Amino acid sequence: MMSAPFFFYLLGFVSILRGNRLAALCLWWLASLFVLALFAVHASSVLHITL
Amino acid sequence: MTQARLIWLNLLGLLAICAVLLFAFADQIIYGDIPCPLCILQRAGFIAAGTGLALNLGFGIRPSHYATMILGALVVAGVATRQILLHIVPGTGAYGNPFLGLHFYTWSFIVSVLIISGGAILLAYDRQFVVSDPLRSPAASRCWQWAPSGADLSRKWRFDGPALRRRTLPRRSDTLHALAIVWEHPRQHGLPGKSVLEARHTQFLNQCS
Repeated sequence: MMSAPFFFYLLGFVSILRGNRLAALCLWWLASLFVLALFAVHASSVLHITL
Repeated sequence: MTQARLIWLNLLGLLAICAVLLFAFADQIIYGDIPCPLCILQRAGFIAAGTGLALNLGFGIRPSHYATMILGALVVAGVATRQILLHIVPGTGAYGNPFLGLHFYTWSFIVSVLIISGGAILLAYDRQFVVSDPLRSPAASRCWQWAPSGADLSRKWRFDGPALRRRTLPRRSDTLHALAIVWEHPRQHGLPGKSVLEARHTQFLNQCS
């Protein structure tokens, strides 16, 4: 799960090198959503323990 | 500041982010400093910020690319702040080896603030956004008020070469290519007949000469 955003970022860089801007931006958003989701999981678990 | 200099600044920023990531990997592999989940998320944020700079280098400088960079740096700042707050209470210890007196998550927060500041400063130069696409630049729009900004023109420009070669005015080959597309299919682009196009072409040549 933690490696998913890196995989999508890698695909995004490949898209940049291939000249496909739309695919690069879409993959960037997908990877960033994964990052935010993982951070949300961390924050929610911390909140659960704290509360 | 010229656009070429800004391109070089973007390249330097991308190299700096690569250096940060390589340093983290070197510390992990050489000294066995295994990254925690928050450290991994910070690395992902750095890659997100670097993607914005790479987009600038690959497709020309655009505000949306700077926004990508700043959003990635904000993710880094948020995660780093969270990790700093985890260890800020005395007696709770720290994670990893310190570097120059500060831990990596503190350095990560400092670098993310630098990236955000740098992005804001780079965004302040308005002239860099003028000529990222010659067919949509002010000079081109003066000459090509009737030209379509359709997928055919964008596709042509996309394969026209790396963005490191920026120009201040549309090249003759670009304008002639756009003219050829419109000339062959005027009806598809909702344009007037060829006689009107001929007159506008003459006007265009007069403006550009």
